[in-house]
Amino acid sequence: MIRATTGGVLRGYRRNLMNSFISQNHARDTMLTQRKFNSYAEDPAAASKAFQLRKSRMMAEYQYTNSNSTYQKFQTAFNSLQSISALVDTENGGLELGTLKDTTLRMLNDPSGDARTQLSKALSVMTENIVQSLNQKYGDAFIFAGADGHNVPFEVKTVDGINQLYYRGVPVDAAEPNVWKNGDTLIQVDNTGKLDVTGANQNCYLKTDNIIKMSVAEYERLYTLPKLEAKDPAEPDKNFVEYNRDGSVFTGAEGEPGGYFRKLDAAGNPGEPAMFNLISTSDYYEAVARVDSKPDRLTDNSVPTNNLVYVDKDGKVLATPPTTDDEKKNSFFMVIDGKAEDQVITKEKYDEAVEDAAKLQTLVNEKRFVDIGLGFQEHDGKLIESSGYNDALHGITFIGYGLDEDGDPRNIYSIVQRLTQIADSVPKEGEWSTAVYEEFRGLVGKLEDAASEFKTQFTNMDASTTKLQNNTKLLEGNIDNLQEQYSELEDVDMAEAISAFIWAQYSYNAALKVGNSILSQSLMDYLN
Amino acid sequence: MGTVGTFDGFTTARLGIYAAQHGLRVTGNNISNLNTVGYTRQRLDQVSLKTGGNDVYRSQFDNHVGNGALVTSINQVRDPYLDIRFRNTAASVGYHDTTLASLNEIADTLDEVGREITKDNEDDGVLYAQMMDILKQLQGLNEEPTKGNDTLVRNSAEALCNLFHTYADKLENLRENTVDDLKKKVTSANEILTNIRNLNESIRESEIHGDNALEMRDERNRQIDELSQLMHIKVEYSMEEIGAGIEVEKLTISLGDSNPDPLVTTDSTVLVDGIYGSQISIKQIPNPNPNHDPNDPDSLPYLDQDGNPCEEADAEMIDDPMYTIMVSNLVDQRNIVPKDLDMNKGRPVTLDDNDLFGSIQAVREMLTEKGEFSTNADVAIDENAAIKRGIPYFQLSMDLLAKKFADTYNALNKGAMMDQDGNLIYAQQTGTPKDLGLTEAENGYYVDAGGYYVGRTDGAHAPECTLTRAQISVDDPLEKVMAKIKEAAGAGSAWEADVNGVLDAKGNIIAGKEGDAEAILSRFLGDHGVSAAANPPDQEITVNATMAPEGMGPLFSNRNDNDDPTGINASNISISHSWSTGDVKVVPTYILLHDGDIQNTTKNENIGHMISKLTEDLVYSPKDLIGDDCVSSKLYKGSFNGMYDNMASTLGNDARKNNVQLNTSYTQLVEIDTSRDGVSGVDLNDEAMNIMQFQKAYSAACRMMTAIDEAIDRLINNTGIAGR
Repeated sequence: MIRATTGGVLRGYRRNLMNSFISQNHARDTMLTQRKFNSYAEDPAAASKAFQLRKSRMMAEYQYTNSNSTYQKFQTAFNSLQSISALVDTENGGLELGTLKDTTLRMLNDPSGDARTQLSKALSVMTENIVQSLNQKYGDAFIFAGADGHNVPFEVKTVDGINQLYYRGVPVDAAEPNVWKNGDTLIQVDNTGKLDVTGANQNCYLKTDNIIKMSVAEYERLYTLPKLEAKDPAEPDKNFVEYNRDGSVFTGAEGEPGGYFRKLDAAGNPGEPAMFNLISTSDYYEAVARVDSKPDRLTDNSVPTNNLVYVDKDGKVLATPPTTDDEKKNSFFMVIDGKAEDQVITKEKYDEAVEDAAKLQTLVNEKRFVDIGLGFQEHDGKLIESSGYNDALHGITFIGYGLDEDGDPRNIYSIVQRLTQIADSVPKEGEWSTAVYEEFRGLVGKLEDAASEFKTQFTNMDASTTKLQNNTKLLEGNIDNLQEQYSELEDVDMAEAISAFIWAQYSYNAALKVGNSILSQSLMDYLN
Repeated sequence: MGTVGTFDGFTTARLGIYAAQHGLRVTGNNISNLNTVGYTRQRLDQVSLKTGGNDVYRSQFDNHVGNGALVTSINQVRDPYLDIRFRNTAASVGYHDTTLASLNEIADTLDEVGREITKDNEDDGVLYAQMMDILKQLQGLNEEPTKGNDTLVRNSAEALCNLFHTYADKLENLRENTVDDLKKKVTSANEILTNIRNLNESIRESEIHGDNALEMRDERNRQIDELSQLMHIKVEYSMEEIGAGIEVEKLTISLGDSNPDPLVTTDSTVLVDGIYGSQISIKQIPNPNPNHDPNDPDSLPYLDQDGNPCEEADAEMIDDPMYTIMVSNLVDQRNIVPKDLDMNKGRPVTLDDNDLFGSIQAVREMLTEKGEFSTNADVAIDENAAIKRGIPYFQLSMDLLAKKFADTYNALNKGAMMDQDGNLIYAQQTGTPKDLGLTEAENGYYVDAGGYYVGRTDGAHAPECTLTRAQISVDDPLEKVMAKIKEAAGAGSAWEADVNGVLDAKGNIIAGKEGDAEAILSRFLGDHGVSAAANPPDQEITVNATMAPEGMGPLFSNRNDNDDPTGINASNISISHSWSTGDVKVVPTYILLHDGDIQNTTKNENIGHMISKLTEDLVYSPKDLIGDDCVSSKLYKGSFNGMYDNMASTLGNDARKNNVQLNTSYTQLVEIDTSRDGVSGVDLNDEAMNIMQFQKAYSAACRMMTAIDEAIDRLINNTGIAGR
């Protein structure tokens, strides 16, 4: 600058004074708002980062609410299950009064039936308590109803005089019946259990619970009497000659122990040496008894005679009967223990049972995810399950469902119902029959298994509750941490802000003073 | 002067007195105008006077003495180079100052730093926090899908819609105010141009009469300085012959060659040429009829003042959407066009998009620049259009955000029930398309309420085809359509499909990847299905339609009294009428267990989708809003909040960048102005010195006169009296 003019100096002064005033104003704003920046333009990167952190904090707050709420729900569920646990306990509380185990043991040890009726009633009450506990609500929703929180999950319906437990409208004992199949193809029978290939009659399936497949060779071995040497060749079926072990003729009375009959081969000839073809008279009569009570074999109602059904090892019906020994070893009879008509199930009932079993499977697999801060992300439109928390609690996973391999219920309620049924079926003051006692004892064992399963699920539940509690605490910490992070970005250090303001004020005051001297001094003042 | 005249000294002293007195007057004038804006320091020009010629008594020796000082003129002290620098920088200051002011006004709406909805969420932002509030309400609904929680989600969504409206309204108001601002700036520029032209004429006349019109020049310079903030200009002075060998100065102002495109010449259009000046204006176009069908001979292309269709002659004239600036003919004060000038050829001039710089251009850019939303046509006009962001960019960004939000949630609230294994449930239904709730897709096929193509049950499918069209949705991408067709074709069918196309038994492509998904689908459906045209809406048809969940329907619409989900933007996004009446709700689940035998009243997988969408990275494509003509296919990828943050960050960065540029330009301008003031400004010290100097000169001249007087007095009265 060659010349510094009055106007130029004043203009420069004005500009600098304005800058000083702006700086002071900014420092005041910073101090009053306690923020490092008050717009994106001041610090876009920090503003953007701060908003992201705030978003994370808001999300963490919602997740905290969810996690806490889920924790509370699980805690309520835990309390309910704890009361059930006291009833089904088999370990710690097993010897105390009022548990299922204790009551059933008392019943087992009360063959005279003095207290059986009362105990049976006590059992019923206990199971009612279990059902009531599982129908608990948290807020407006039923806890153990899976994803159907607005409807009561467990219901007891009386069908044919028997109490049956239903979970969300499905009988808890539903299971796919074991029926005769060729691979995956169901084989149809009529209502008497006879093969009905065309399906024209009754449309039933054969339950295989009491059916065994026995090879033809084995069947013939078990249920065919040996041909014996007769005294009178004219009457080969009567008056067999009895021998001693060494082949000499037995002299004892008929049926007296020690005698042997001689077996003939297929052609009717005694084998040599004769002593190897002997059968003791007691063994023979035992075989006679077995043959006399031989079980039924499945027959084909479309064939009038020779209608026995032969199947292969997979249950597939063979078109022709086996002839050779090898064929007989690899072909089988469907041997029925009991009446065939008791083994059949109508297609309608079978389909219903299968559908119900599938429904139960659907129910136990049902999930309901909430966001508790595990990521909650989707991939290809589907939630990544590990990123959410499954808060669905299914009552039947605790008290069991379906039938076991023996066809007995796995569900605690149903087992107890069966136990009370059995107990009630024995006449008052009467004694257990061995079979009933054994059945009862067997079911008590299954009750213990179910109780053990309950304990496992209960322990899992306990672990889940603890996990939720920890997660809630973690989220609480996260919120604080995030607040700290954006606070560091946004909030000013007050000491620094006050110093900056005082400095700006000082500078401004100094600028004002300078202005005063600028305006007063010029050569004009010294002119005479 | 060889000869010394008796009274020469008086003349010399008188001239000295005159010069000193003139100097004092100039000094006084300078001091008086110390605070006059635009005043240029004046300076006295004086020369030493020497009378010419030789007389007969001339001495042979060179003892020539001058005759004193002569005041020749009073001039201004200016540096033309500083003027050029000042005006160039002023254009930059004008541009960045106006841009920054507009960005700050946008920031008043969009910048949520330090703002909050309530004191509970201090500094969490407003729209930003409201989007998160929806997440909170959805979390509540997810946990407990009840009507009450659905209402809470709806209320939150309604608050969000209102915020979108508020922001959109503010931006639109800002845009309208900016249009007014542009018009005011154009008016100002025209007033200045007129003033300069008139001053030119006055100065010219004064110059002809020998007056250099310093005060008018000052005023003209001040006007030019003001004009230079409005637009970048070039100022040239030349001499113009007015006849008889007399020349006067001519001022020419033209645009400052701002356009970076070297082929463009309109950026040096002359605005003022001596006594001729032009005016600028915003280009006017006839108001186009948005419903005009060029194929319909009865359709009229324009709208009149009352909004009725009309021909061009009757059309209402409106501002060109690009706010193109036009420069009129050059005319003098009497409105006469110069006859001998070529420059009026091709006038009025339509300026190119980048011909101006300064605050007018800044306002134009604020009104027109769409950044990533620019079309190919915009880029053809300005190759940098895609990186310039004005109010339309932020309006369109808000529109895109609102549309994406609404479309995302509307799509999630549209679908079909599936069974427990994830298979679509569809059932045969008979009725008219309207009764069945079918809509006609763009490709001419019926689509059910779930968005799936419906199939017919009359066995018209190809024998090999087991596909029911209910398995294909209008929203399915190509890959999914092809996968479905492949799945339907199965092994050993007469035709096969893979992701590349559908082949017939001979290997000929019957539908291929070269077409888009819709074309392939149309072809496929055309071969195997029934078209909408074959089934008028009032005719009963039998279809396999998917099962829609209870309460399904659009959550957001383009007006709160309808359910139309099309064309949603920030200013019209609304809660759909059906959602507000409760006929539509947030669909919690699309899963129907075992034909409804098992209820799942608190199943929530769809709410889970909605929650995850709030944080999912979505692609925001300007093409979704503008169409395929848009130059950019991706604006941002991120969450809804991220998109808003991106808008605010972009705004913040632009403002910051402009602020830096403004500060730089302004500092330069002040420096140049100070320098200019150093040359042209009045300084009191300087003038005090001048006072002393001229006062002393005046006194000395007076003393000189006294001395001469005394000398002559001696000569006249006291000489030759000896002896008297």
